[in-house]
Amino acid sequence: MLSVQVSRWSQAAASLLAPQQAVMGWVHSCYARIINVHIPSGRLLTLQGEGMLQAPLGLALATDVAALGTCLPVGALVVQDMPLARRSPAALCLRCADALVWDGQVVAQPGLTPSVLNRQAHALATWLCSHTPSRGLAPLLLALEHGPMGLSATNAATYTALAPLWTGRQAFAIPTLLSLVKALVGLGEGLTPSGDDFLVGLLAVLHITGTLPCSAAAPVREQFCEYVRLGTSQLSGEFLRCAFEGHFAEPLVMLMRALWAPASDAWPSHAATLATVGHSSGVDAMVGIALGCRLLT
Amino acid sequence: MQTHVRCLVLFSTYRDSVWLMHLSHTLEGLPGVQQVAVMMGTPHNKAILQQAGLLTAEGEAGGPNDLLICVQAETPRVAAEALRQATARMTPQGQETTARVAAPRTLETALRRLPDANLACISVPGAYAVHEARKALQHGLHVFLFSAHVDLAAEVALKNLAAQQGLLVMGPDCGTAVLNGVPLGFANRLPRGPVGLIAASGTGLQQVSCLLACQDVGVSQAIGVGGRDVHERIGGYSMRAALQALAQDTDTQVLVLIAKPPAASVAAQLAREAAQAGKPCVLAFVGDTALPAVSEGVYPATTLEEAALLAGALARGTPLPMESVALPASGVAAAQAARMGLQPGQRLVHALYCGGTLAHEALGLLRQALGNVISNLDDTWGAAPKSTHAVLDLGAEEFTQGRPHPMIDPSARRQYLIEAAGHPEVAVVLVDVMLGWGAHADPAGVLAAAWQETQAVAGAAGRALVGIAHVCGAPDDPQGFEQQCQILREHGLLLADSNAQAVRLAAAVLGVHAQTSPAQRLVASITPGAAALPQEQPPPASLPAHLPELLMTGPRVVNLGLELFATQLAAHGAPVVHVDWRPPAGGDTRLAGLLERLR
Amino acid sequence: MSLASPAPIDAANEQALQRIYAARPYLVAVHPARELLPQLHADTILHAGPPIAWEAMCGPMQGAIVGAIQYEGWAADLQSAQALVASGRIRMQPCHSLSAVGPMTGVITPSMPLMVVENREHGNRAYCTLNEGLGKVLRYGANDAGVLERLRWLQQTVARALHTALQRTGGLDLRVMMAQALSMGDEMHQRNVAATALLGQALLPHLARTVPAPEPLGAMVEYLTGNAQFFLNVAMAAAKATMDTAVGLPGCTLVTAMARNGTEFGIRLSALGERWFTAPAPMPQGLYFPGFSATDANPDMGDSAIVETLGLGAFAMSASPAVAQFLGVGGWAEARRYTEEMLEITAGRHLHLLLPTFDELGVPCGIDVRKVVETAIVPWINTGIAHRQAGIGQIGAGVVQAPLACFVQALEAFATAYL
Repeated sequence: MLSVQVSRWSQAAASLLAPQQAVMGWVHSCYARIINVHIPSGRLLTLQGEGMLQAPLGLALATDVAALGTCLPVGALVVQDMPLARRSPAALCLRCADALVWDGQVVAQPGLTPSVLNRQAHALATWLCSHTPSRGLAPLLLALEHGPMGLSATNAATYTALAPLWTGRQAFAIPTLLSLVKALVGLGEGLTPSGDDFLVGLLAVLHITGTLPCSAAAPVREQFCEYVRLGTSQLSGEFLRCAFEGHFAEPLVMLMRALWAPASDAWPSHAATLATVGHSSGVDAMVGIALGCRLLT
Repeated sequence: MQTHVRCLVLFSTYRDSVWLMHLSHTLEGLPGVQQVAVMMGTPHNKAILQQAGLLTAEGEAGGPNDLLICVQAETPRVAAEALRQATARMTPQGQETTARVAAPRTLETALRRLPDANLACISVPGAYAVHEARKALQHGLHVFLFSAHVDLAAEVALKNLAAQQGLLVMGPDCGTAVLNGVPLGFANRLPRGPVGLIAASGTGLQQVSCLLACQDVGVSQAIGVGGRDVHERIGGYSMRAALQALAQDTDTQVLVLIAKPPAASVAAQLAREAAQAGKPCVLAFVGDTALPAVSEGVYPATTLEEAALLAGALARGTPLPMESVALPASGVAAAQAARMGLQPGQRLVHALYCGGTLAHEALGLLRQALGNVISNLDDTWGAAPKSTHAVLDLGAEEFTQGRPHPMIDPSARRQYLIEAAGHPEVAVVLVDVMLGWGAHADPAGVLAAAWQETQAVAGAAGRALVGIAHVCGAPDDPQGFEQQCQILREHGLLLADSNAQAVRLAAAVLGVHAQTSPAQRLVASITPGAAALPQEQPPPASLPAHLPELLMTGPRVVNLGLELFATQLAAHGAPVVHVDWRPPAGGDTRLAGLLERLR
Repeated sequence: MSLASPAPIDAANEQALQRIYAARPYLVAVHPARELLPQLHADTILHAGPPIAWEAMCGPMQGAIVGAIQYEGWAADLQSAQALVASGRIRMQPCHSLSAVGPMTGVITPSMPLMVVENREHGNRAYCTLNEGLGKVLRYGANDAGVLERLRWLQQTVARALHTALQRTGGLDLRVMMAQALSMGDEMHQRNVAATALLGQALLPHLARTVPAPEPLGAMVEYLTGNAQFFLNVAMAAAKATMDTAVGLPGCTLVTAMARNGTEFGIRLSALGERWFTAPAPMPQGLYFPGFSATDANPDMGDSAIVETLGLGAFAMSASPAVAQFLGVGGWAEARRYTEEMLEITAGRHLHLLLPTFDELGVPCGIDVRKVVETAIVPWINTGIAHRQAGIGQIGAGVVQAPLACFVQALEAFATAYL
């Protein structure tokens, strides 16, 4: 049994684990520098090395996770460090007692008027067009003004889903959100499809403006989760579920906090960091933020 | 055309997006593959795949947690092969890394693994480079010293030590060499043949050897000696030692010496020893307008292009080119056409170069043709407004602080291209594209993308820029010489065959006729004997005892510094050990000094 | 092809290496410490590691000292023992100062039996205690009645039986035994199971003929074979007897000892004789037994690093992949990397202690302090992890790195003396 110290984890992850519960879960998948653990309630935790938490339910371990992943088969048992766990045939034991907790929740921020939202959204869109114009969904930023010429198949489908909302300029409401989710979930390339990342960005905006309070109504949540369950992978779905509840990965939270901070000119470096996440996941989330703001105003 | 589609479903398989992208690109690059899609099997994605005709019955079976790899190819076999390659990549990479042995940490340990090593390739930071070079010489290894920032006194000491040991020091600041066909540093894939090159200039060596390769003339040895070798205090030691070796080398029939103009005494010494070599020798002091008086069998050249033409003719036994090289008719026509597209205010040339010597040569030629040209190569580059012609060496120290060299990372040039596009008076942009080992995998592609942006910016202001590029590469270079040229042509750049021709093209676009004249050479080569030589002559450099063995059997290398040099040597089949180098004593200079005295 | 002539330092190092390779340690006898070490005064206690004052000692070390005082009968109980040592009337010095070594707290008193290892090539001797076994033991700082009783049993029963059997063998060739053990997966620090078995095999016929009755024989054999780490103490004495031949060679930059007392880590350099160069003892990194964690651990402790000084232990990790997994180091490839890394800082490879998994080449031998400072690669040491409270015992196992500061100090002292 390998015993590893958890150096830092998100509040959301910590709240899912009962302190007295020895069994944490089973290894769901390993790739690159990530190990996903399936917990009994069905959620997915993400184990990673030191650094920014790349998933809303993230645990940063004080060890070489790539090497760890090569000796943990899928299905291996993972336990928390406590006396009960000592006799279990676990492959991995995580010591969480001294782990630092990071709060990754995006809550409603007062004072975000439509003009503030518009201004920062415009600034973010401009940044994306000059730094990452051809990655992921970024071409949509221009396409929505100038037309869908030359878009890739997946971007064209995303364009089709968004265009009616654009031209109609309807007031944004919960039903609109749900129909967007239905149209975009699972759409696109990448381990987390571009459509999912877009929705994560959009949800971040909904939370920070208070449009979707963290305690949204049960029927809405159920419908949302149903679309997600049927439409995309467990891994990507976990990000969406957390986003619905207001929990996001650290790079995205850092950007959100910086975009709407009073002295708001430090955000480009956070945008640059987020742009390095995945192949286009970070960029797609930012497109979701930029377009999400404009949809709301 | 026939199309065959195959789908592979990998159940419950997850790989991160960057990995998926790489797989996608790799499969797309396979011959005969028309379309590739690598995606999670979500309902929306399957719909898109269906519309694109990429979804088969097997693919249908995939679900949101499964990875779909869909390939459309010319034949069923190609499709099957693509899927087989995809499957091969899925196997965990963990086993590979654990099988690799850890790299040695020091020169000594490396020598235990490669006891018959005969050369140390050193590219660690300057201060440490001297220490490592000295250690290498003491262990009986020749040194290829890529590192710059080594002071003059240290270079003198190293070359003296080398002389005592019968070894050769190539460098410091030596970017290129090809020994017995094996590439060191930034070098091109050259055919073997009768021309032996010795250069105190990396890109100068590359340009001449590539021009020879394009003429189908091969190279026996290409020896770099470091940019400062022809300084007065060094006296061209390494160049003269290499000259002795090649004079005796049976595979070499023609010699070429390349350098920026040396001090007069050194130039004269080189001319004298070249004459005594017993083989025809081209002396290319690039940018020199006053040629040394030379004797029979020695041929001065003022440009790299001229050097290559002379050497090529000497190698083939064809008559030497007598007239100055002019633009071919097609070039003249292209220049006229480009000139038409210029706006009235556009009258400047901006040259943006990766290669130092090429920039130097371009500067000299442009000054001859156009008059006032500023550059960061001399102190004409100030904070003055740039309303003049300009030549920028982007590989110079001030541009490469904390950034990779533009030959490795061509994207550095982009911002300067965009700036030029915004400048209303700029008409022509001159660029060099360097191919070969160590250089970027697709410099033309990167340049083409940047050029598109540049034209867009200029176009928005109602202007068009004329872009002139020359690709410095050999036909067999890993990037694909023809393909690289094609990419540039397709993006509207004018291609020149050489740096000198690029300058002539640029001048022609501006309506100026530029000529590089070989006239002086003709006169000089007939004059018998040597006149006006200085009285004091250093003794002739003796042939380093261990140099012929290096040239005959090729380098067996211990590599300290950039790992890519070791990788390219290994790819070439040359014996090499890479050292995982760290500064001695963790960078503590006091302790390092103590260790030095306790050696 | 080296064209430079060898420097005087290299020549001195080569001479030291030749002595180390040529050493032939034999296990020959067991005697009370007072008979072997005339300089061991009646009020002196030896301990592991470099010199240290009572006040600076860690919990386990103090516990062991207090227990040893009672064992010798210098005090009747815990409180009076503590008062005695606090009063300053007890002298404490390193085992190394009298050609001895001890694991963990490494406490030696005049009555304790010591195994004698004789280097028949050079004629010098080295000594080590008998391993107490597992559980509550003096070497982890336990000092209750049970510990003392066991120590007396060792002194009165085991020592005599072992000595008699050894006399009959004429001495056991330890170099051959360790070479064999290397090829059976031992590295002689954290894994000694094969070597212990080989030792038992050699002694059993003689024990059977010299121990009078079945019950005492059974107890004796149980003691020898029931403790997989019995050979550790033997290996330590063999390494000490070997490395001592290289002490005091002028101009030699090889390390002759590495030792820790739970507070400080110390090394000795050949040319500078008995001088210690110390730095704070590091904390081991490794795996903990269930219920324990890094907050419970004591800093690194014991003279057992003499095994690494010779080139065994972590230096021979590539012989012992099982140890690598146990220590949390990884698999076979990782184990090999440890040995390879140690090759960067050693001057030679042992001629007789060979690594079967490494093309039969010898273990890295002769730590050169110049190479340590130049590369900043420090020796790795395989180690048990003790609880920082006296008496609880071993709570895990792992690896520890010698502090670079010791080597820097030693190099500077050498330079001052020689330049």
